[in-house]
Amino acid sequence: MRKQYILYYLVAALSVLSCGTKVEPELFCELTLSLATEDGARVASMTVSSSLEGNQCRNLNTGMNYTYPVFEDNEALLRVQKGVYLLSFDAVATLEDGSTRSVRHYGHADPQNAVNLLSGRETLTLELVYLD
Amino acid sequence: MPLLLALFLLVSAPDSLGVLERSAQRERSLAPRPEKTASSALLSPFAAYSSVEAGVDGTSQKAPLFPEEGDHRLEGTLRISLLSRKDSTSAVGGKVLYSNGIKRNVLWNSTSDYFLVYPYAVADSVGGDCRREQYFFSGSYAFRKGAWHYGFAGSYRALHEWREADPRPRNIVSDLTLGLSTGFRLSSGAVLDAGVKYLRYSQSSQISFYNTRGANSSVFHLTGLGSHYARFAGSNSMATTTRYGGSGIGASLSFLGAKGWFGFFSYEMTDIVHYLPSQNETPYQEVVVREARLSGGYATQKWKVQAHVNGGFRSGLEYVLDNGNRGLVQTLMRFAMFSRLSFDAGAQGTYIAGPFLFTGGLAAEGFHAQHNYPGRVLSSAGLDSSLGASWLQGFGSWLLGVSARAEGYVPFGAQLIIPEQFTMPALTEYYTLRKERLERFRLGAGLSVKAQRRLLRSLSVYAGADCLVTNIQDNTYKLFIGLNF
Repeated sequence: MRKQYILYYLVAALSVLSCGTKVEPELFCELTLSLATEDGARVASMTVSSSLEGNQCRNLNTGMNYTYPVFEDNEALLRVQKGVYLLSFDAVATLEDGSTRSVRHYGHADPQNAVNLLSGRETLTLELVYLD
Repeated sequence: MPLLLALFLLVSAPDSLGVLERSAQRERSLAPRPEKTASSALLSPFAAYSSVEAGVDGTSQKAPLFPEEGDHRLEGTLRISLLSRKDSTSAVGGKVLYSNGIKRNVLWNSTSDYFLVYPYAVADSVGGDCRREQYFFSGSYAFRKGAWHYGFAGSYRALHEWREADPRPRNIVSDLTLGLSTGFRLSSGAVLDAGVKYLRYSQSSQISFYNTRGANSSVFHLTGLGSHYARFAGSNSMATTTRYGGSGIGASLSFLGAKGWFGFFSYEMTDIVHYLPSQNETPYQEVVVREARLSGGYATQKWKVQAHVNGGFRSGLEYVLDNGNRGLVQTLMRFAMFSRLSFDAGAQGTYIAGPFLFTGGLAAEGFHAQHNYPGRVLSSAGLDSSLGASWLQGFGSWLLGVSARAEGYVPFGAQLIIPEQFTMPALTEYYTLRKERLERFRLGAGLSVKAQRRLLRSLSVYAGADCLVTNIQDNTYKLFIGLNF
């Protein structure tokens, strides 16, 4: 009888210990950045300078700023922590026809227009405007 | 004084032992003492014993390991402790504590209960002196019916901390714990006890800037090992008013053998969420702390050996908040970004020879903390050792005691990984200094004296002092005076 009570105590104690936090999702998002120019021209290559103030791929909450990868054939791949992001830049794009144009993306420049990147894979189209 | 007299009459037990004998019993008893259960008063090996004590204690550290708690501390305390046993079948325990003091040169921390809410403290870049005032009340009642016993306990702590120069945090803490326990005595005379407890915790924190020219420092919401929640850095109300709220549970098992064996196990889990009241009370950080303690040994009237293993796991969760475009900030998801694993394992022995008591202990301890992204690591391990000797002797109406101790810490090493390009230079420097301090060899020597004089058979007055000095100028001291009854 006493052994049964000891067992009851152990079960009661262990049941109290079973609480815990939820399992968290994967930390990163594989982001595909796709460019869209005003006139539909494809961008052969483009490099976004990280030294130019205003160029940002910034996590709104943590403040971490990522360097844009080199865009080739209208696309670039970037691995970022899942979160809410501000994206904006000025750059010089080399179009498919060989010409170079100054371009700007400002669609996600401020918190009101921040973009949520919350899943493991996301594709984001960046609208480009010509500056010249 | 009338209140103290009433207290004395209420709790003084019609005991065969006088107050000096009961004091000596407490200082020389090797009987195990279960402390993490509501029945601890009933299971205590001691006769009725109560005290009212006033004291001053402080620390002085040239290079503190935790600047978050300052480098100097001075505190006055009033402590009332009661253990009343009217007969062998029931016991009442209680404690009242009031303390008022100051912590000097607190750095990188504007939050109270830093070691509870770490790493999610709010910090400022200036630091300063922090005043504090704390109240603590606890009570327990346990009784025995046949072979079974039952216990009820509760405690409440209120803490107020504030600073009188910009930036000025004002923190108010409320901490309530309730506990129940039950157990029984086996036919062999051994006692089993199982207890549970529940706690509720809250802390409100507001940092103000009185300088009409504006703030000349910033407030940071730290997320561990040099990282911070950049969105809320600054000095506006969005950044400077926060609230912590949470709860916890605990369980304990105690075994007190009839022939000297004993064992204790306890487990506690506390979950505290950090909120932004100015952003519709949205949660943005959460810390979950789990601690398990296991100890056991064998005790006789002359000697005792005891071993312990303690483990702790702290995990930190960071919430992803949306842009608040619709006037409400909402949480989108949360990540487990921080973890800290700690351990402490060792053994201790005690031996009594006449008026002398000798102790010695050895323990290995260490921790590993990391922040997942970008990768940050701080870890350390070392060996703790202690040796002590004390002398306790009665001379008529007097009871005198002197004890000396030596403590040492030998570091095995420490590791620090900080991505400097993602960390403020001041925080990089701070953690570099922390690593250097973890790698220091520490040796300390302490001395304490206590004199107690019987005034009545069940009333005595005592006074004493204690100090500890170390090679790294990390010193503590204490003066106290009180009444026993």
